[in-house]
Amino acid sequence: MNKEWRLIPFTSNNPNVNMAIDEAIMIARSKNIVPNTLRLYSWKPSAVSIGIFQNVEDEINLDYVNKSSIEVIRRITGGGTVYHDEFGEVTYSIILKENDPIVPTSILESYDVLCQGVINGLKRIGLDCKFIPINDIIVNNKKISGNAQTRRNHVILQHGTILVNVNVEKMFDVLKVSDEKIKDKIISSVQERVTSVNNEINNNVSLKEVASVMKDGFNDALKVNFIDGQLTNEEVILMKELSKNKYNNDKWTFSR
Amino acid sequence: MICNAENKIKGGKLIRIKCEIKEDILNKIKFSGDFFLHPEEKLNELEDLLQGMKINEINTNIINFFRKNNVILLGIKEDDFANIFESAIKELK
Repeated sequence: MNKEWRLIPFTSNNPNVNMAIDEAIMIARSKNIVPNTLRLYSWKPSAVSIGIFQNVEDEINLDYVNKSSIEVIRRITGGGTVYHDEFGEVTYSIILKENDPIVPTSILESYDVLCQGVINGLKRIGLDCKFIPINDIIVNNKKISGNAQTRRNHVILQHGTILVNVNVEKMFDVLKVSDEKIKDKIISSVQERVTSVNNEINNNVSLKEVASVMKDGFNDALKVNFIDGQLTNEEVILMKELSKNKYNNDKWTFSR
Repeated sequence: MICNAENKIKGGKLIRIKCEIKEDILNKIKFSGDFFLHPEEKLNELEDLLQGMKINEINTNIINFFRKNNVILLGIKEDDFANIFESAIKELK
């Protein structure tokens, strides 16, 4: 019989809350008070997240994001800057024990295994995607999903994005470009390398529909049974504390 | 003296460094970039370790630290940290 995992169904949340929930689940999982968990979410308002080792001023056009009410948030995972559009992206997070036989010990190999959930999900809406190390998923040679993983206290957290609608020009309003003179050229080059679900299938698939196929995709890939659940009281307390004191705090956001 | 450098690594990741040097001693150092380093807190530990060292001791200590602590690097190599430090202090030599 397949193992039972918790599914936190698709919700739209404030960026601080999104990152705080991921970390709260990770802490709760390390204390063995919750099961392995898959969570699906979007961002409201839109946000730009930076990797744990990035510097905000180097990466983000702060004048623009402040004017546009886009929130800036530092993740606990490495990797690059990501623009999370309120209407353009589904994010997943998967939290499981490091010694779970589903995942290889090697971080690099485990990206491949966990990204198969996204690949299987997108397959269900007709997209033939593949994993490209270190952490990307591509379709027709264009990136459609980026993923990032951390491991703490013997727990793996991997979160990743699935682009459903993409506007590269808007992305570059948010990101700082090293040379403004060649910004148009950079945008065209990224437009050639990045795509979205709705670009690929010429349809108007909703975020909710994509979230739904993600659940099935992870089910196909990991052979586990998802039981709809919600955060426990302990996780809610942790989430509130992390949201207020860490993710909504400049000390963390501007820490590098 | 403040020294900065950045390097696009083969494979696409970026590493930056900002450091402050006074009389051949490294006073401050911060690496940044879109690489992966596990466990993540080891980067702060490395920077703390390097601060106060002579600049000619930095590269060996970077490599030794990564090896001793079994740090896992993805998208970047130990040498990239040492090389970016070399680039940053080039003007001093």
